[in-house]
Amino acid sequence: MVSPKIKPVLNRRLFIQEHVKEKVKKMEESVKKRNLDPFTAATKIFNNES
Amino acid sequence: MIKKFNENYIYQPKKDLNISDLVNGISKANPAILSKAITLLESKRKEDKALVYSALSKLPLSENKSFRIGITGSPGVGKSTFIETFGKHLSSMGISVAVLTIDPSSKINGGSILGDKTRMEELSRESNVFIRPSPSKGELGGVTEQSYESILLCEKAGFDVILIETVGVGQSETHVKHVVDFFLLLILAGAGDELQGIKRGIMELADGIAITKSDGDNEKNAKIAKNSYQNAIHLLPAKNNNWITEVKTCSSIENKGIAEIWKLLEKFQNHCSENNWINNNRSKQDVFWFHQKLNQFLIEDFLSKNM
Repeated sequence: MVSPKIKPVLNRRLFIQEHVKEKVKKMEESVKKRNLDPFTAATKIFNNES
Repeated sequence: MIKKFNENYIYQPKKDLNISDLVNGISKANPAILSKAITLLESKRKEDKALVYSALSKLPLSENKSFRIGITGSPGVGKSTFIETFGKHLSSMGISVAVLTIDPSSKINGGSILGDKTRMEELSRESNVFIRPSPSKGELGGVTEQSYESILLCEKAGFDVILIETVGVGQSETHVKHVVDFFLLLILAGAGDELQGIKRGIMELADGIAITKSDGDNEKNAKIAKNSYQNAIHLLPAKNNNWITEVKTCSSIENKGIAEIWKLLEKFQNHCSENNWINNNRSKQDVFWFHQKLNQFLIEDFLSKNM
């Protein structure tokens, strides 16, 4: 059983998972091409939006 | 209830803004709305920040991109006085100016004086000038977490030039370079030997150096310092935009050398428009802030759930 305090920390492990890494890379490309501003891109990743 | 004080100023009681208020106000460069938007960015409440982010994404980019200039230097070098004179020079030429100043926050009680608007008394009276001080909140690097968003807000409001006055920085606090096109370093004559000029860090990031307070008895020292720094710059590595840093002297009180500094900035703009460097650099800055924001969101989320 995971303590409720530790759970969010484990959830953050999401960000080292492969599919999230890929998403970060894709968003980075969009930001680089200036199709998306950095805040919208970061919010999308954080809220798990496509 | 609206209470009218005079023809130009209308007092409006405080109310919560919505996205359309923000979008309309910022696109019309309404100083009160612009200030309020920056206040919301500085808020610790997630909903406040989200409101401004939504407004930012709805605002179209202004046709004329603003020229973003970072002004830095050690405490007492004369940053605020320089901005007052420089800003008035730009304003007199019909150039609209937004000044974002960063004030140090106390480590003991967290407060900031935010007195830069008072120090720029004449500039703050100009109709095409917007001045907004922000607390550093202990952030290192000379700028705050919200500096980049504040710059974007001013850019979308259509200001021609955005001046960012940093907290008085040392030799390694160079975060400000990630938010500006041109980085102007102010130096006081006689504040160090020639070796100061070849130190890495802030010196190699500067696109221009101005030796301040070049008036009265200090004029001779300023000229000597100018030559020393100009010689020292040749020892620093070349910049990727092939721009060669220039050193100027100026006196903000006597309004000497200010026009020359603006000419230097125009020369830089022409140089960079030839190789599209400003656009490429801004795209790199966007990627930097994307990672910064991701980290910030993670930390905020972690702290909100664990503290």
